[in-house]
Amino acid sequence: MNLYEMSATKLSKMIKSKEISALELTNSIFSRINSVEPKIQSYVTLCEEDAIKTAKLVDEKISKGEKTSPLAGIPIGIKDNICTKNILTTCSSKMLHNFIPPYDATVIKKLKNANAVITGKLNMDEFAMGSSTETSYFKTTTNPYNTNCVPGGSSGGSAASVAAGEAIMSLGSDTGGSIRQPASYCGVVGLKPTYGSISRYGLIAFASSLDQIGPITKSVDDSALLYSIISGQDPLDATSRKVNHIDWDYNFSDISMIKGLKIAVPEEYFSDQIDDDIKEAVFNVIKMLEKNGAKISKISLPSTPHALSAYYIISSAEASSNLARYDGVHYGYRSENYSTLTEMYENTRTEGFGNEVKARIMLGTYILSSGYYDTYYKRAKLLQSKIISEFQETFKEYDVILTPTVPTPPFPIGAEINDATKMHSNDMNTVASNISGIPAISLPCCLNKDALPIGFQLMCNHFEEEKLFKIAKCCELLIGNIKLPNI
Amino acid sequence: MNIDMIHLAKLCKIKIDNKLSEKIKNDISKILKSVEDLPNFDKNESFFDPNNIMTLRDDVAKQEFTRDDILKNAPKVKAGCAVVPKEID
Repeated sequence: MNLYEMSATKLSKMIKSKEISALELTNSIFSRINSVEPKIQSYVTLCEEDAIKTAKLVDEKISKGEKTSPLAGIPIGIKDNICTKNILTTCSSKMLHNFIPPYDATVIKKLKNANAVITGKLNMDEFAMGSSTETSYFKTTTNPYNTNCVPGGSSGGSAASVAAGEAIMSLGSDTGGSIRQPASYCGVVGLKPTYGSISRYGLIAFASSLDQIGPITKSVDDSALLYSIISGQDPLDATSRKVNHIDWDYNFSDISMIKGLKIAVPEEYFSDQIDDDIKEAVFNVIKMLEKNGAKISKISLPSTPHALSAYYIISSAEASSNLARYDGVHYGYRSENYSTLTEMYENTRTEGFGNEVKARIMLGTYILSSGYYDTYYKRAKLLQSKIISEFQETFKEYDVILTPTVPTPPFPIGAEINDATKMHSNDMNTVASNISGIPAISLPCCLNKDALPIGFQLMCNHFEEEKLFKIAKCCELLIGNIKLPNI
Repeated sequence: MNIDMIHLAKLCKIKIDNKLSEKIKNDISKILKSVEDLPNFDKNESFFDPNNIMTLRDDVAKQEFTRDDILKNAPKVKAGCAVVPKEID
């Protein structure tokens, strides 16, 4: 097995035992990037020089016998909406094509303290608005399982890089499914943590009440490892909360915990819009869990079919406010064509934003304008309350909710980019956990007849990440690994 | 759906051509219609979580960045200030 195909937890042990050096691992990743990046296109910026410096530092610490973090020397890619000091951070937008942050996001500080090796900044949909990475100003990332297909989005670069071996793990962000949908499309593990469990300081805002940073990894162990390092309350993010530290047992393999586990299967997540192969694959997972003693119950979450509407109202309202700051004055792109201040604003925003971003700013501005607030925004927020209470009631009786992650397999590049309704429907099974703030994880379960990955989603109650990881690990042990892509 | 796209674009400080305006209007209308079609909810139900209390840090000014750090990203700078077109004659 090549180093780039291994999990972080395994590589961490190999580095500590000096079986391999951090420099060897970093070089292996950059050699892999050189070989597959022309096909995958997952990076906007590479940080090879700094990565090698960090890897050498880790090797030096280990040779001196110093104590190191389990993430020391592990190559990690970062979604390009997370601020990295002195490293270009573009949000894959022309608007920020030249933006070099003067500070690190809190998650980046934590990774640096752990001596993780930052490989570079990963491609995404512009300002995280999209489900295919096709709205990026720079390039379209491809799916490592079939380069004619999209990797999903908005964290498409984060998911594709891990699946293709161009990073051992990565950070993404999830506002309506942007970690889990690409993780499902690329056959990797994607966690959207509880809202507030990871600091958003330095995450360039799309919809502040829904945005959450999370790990994309090859395994559940790796997801728990990265989560345990980056989670925790941060004075720089008032919405972050105290989180119980997860002391994850990497040897955890007690699948007997499945026995008696109460699993809820909501009918609304298996609607007619869900592809038959996906339904069958997820039902097979359910059957396997039942065979191992889980108690499966069909339930109803009646407000779920409306969650997508609430999501587009709330997220667009917040986006219209958050993106008002891009005016060509303090940072980013400025049009060269203007004579007045208003003309400078208008031309900067017209030339700097792509069409998807413009559409969401306009939707958000419309619903927040006088006379429309009660009709749209307030109704969406009332629906949000309803969705939260339905989840709370469910978790009084059940341990976990199991659903398909996405309605369809990865689609061909260009197939949905001009059909907003179809593109938005990609998030139909993922948005409710953002709306309610609960944690959700997507795991791969198999490949379909076209050799494209199928994923399923597990959701637990707020701040129950440890339980979620344990259940996910049991599923992973029962299912086994899916075949790696042949690029 | 009657949306004044010219006024809306003006509010957003964005210029859009007729083709894009029509597409965006169509997409926005579909989303708005889906919200109008929602069932009626209990308007007394609070959408604020009383258990989610934000912890605000002390309102103390600190020098975290120098003026030069901040202005490094500004498109046009003169005498330590971001330059914009003149608005007053």
